[in-house]
Amino acid sequence: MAMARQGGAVSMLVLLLLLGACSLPAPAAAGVLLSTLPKALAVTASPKPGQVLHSGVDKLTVTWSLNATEPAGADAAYKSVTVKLCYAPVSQKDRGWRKSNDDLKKDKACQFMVTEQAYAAGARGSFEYTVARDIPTASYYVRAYALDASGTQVAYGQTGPATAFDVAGITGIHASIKVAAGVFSAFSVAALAFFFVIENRKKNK
Amino acid sequence: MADMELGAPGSSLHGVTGREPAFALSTEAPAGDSAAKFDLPVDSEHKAKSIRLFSFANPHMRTFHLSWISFFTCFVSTFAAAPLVPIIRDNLNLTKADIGNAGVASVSGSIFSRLAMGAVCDLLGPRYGCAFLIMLAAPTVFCMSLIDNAAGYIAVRFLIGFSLATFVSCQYWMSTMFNSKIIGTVNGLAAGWGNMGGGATQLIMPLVYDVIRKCGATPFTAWRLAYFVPGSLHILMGVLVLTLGQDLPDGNLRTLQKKGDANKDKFSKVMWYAVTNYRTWIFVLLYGYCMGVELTTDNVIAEYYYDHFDLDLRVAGIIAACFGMANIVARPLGGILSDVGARYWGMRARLWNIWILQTAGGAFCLWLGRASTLPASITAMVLFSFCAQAACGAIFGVTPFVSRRSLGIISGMTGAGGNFGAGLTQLLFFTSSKYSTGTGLEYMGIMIMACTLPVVFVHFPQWGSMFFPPSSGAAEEHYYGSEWSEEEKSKGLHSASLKFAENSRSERGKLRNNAVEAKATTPPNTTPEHV
Repeated sequence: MAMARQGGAVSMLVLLLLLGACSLPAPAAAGVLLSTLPKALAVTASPKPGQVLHSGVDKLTVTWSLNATEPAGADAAYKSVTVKLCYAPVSQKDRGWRKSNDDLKKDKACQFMVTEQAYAAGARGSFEYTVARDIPTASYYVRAYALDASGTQVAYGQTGPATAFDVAGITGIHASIKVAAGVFSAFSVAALAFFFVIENRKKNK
Repeated sequence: MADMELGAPGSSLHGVTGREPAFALSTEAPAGDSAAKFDLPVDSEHKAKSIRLFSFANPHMRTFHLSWISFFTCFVSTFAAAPLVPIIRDNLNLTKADIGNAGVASVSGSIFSRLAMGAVCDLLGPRYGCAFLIMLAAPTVFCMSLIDNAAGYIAVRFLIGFSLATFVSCQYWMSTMFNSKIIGTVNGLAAGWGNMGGGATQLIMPLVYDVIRKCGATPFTAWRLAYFVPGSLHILMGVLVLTLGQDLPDGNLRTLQKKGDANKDKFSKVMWYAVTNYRTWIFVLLYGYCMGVELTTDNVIAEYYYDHFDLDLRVAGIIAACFGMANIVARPLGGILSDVGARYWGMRARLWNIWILQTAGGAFCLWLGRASTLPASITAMVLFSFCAQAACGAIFGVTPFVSRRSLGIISGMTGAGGNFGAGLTQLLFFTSSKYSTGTGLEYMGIMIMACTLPVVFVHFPQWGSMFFPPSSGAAEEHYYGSEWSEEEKSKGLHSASLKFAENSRSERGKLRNNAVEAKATTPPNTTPEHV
């Protein structure tokens, strides 16, 4: 009886899972490969190599323009620019979840968006970015992609892993958390001691 | 009559396997029949003879629910970090080695705390044992919200892992409340439902994290606040255990104190017979590769789905939860399959059952590591979870028969083997950056299949092994009697073992037992003795 009930529960569970799994999205097609993109943008970032920025507090200014080595007019197709913060190789070491990949759809090194804005041909674009509070402690460099009208990357530029700067992320610990943890812990120990003492007294009476 | 005095070695593991009479704590039945006041039918010790799952009646069912939920809570807090690792690893700047080491640490602590827990239960009773552990572990859970580097992370996960010793208090407490005929089922349910906490946490923690994020917290604060949920559960369960629980069906704690510490059996002897029986070590290894890999997978699977398939934290948690939640049916099912097989073919069926389930689990683990599409991966994971957890249940269907004298210690060693296997597999396959988590799962699957092979060497002279029939002329009495020296036998100390041997004849299986009965019905020729 119990076995039939369990067997029914088992098959229900498996069925639900398979249904759920089938409704999940299929893997997407391969994206643009970084190695095929021309390094047509010259990108600069204000932090010096090794400088430490504090997230939530410090700002950095990033600029981009057409690389001087490119012929004029090469940027006619560039409609917008996305600027991203990428992990430097030293912060990717032993951390497979931050690995660079040539396929930009699978790349995990550039996870944080700095800005996305329209591209003005021939001009120098810039943006002042306050380091967001969810940027973790690590070494970074800046990469900018030029996108065409359909949103596909057609060129890029970066400040380069060699000139990486550091970000000191927030710990996330507030004083209120410390107090709450202390209070709850003390309560736990005190409650236990209370019950133990009371019951011992009752027993010894 | 009490078979094993308080403090006798192995007495703390009473009821773990459900085959031995569980007489850890007993009271004399008070004058006048007070059995009528219990909700369930009870025996002479007022232990329940049946179980009604949806009842909360005092004392038996209330104990059952308090006990398994406490164990469940400790599993929730021990594995609470696992689904949040993608956030924690960025906050604390962890490397893969740090994450792997923390996983190892989270399962290692309980190897020792489980051994100490036995003594604590013997001294204070299971109710206080459980409450002490769960309430003293609560500060460690809250500490997790305050750490800010890898060393702190590893240390706190190690300390929280100590709380897994509630397994011992849970089983011990059940054995004071439930009759030995059903204690196997009761403990199997409690163990399985407790283990489910490792799956439930993968659902609970991302959900709580999401809610806190929606309230406006940054990710690095949100996960710390989320840890207050398992911590508060610890305090809640501790208070409930202390206010609603009682050690014995009659609530009489004093008898516990009066019994004293008379050691009926020598610890060194019990240890010797446990350690020199080769079957003990084979089961220690086997349990490491069913329970151990289950704990390891609890630690790594959510991160695997998050990274490998680029899933949202919550979706990864839901999938990972399915792994641990299968315990609700899988572990008891393993025990049931073992019992059903033994009814027809005896012990040999139990051994084959273990081998089939655990090897299949290894094969599915290998498939899981290889699967490149999400539906295939999830299917492999679910099948892997069922087989591994059923194998856990199946192994505890056999361990009671390995030894009668040293059952408690063997059960404890087997349990410790599970944690050891968990630590080892995490260290070998999920700590180094040399290969990815998927490859680690593949290798783990292969190692499971390899380490399950030793079960073919388990041979009981009276029942046989997987490939060999029983040795002719061997009897259960001889096997269990061999654990006692001639001197001890002359004193009659082995009487309980003999009784067990007689009852264990059912492990010969229906066919052999029928043949024996057929012979017995023809009356033997006897010449009457007379002068």
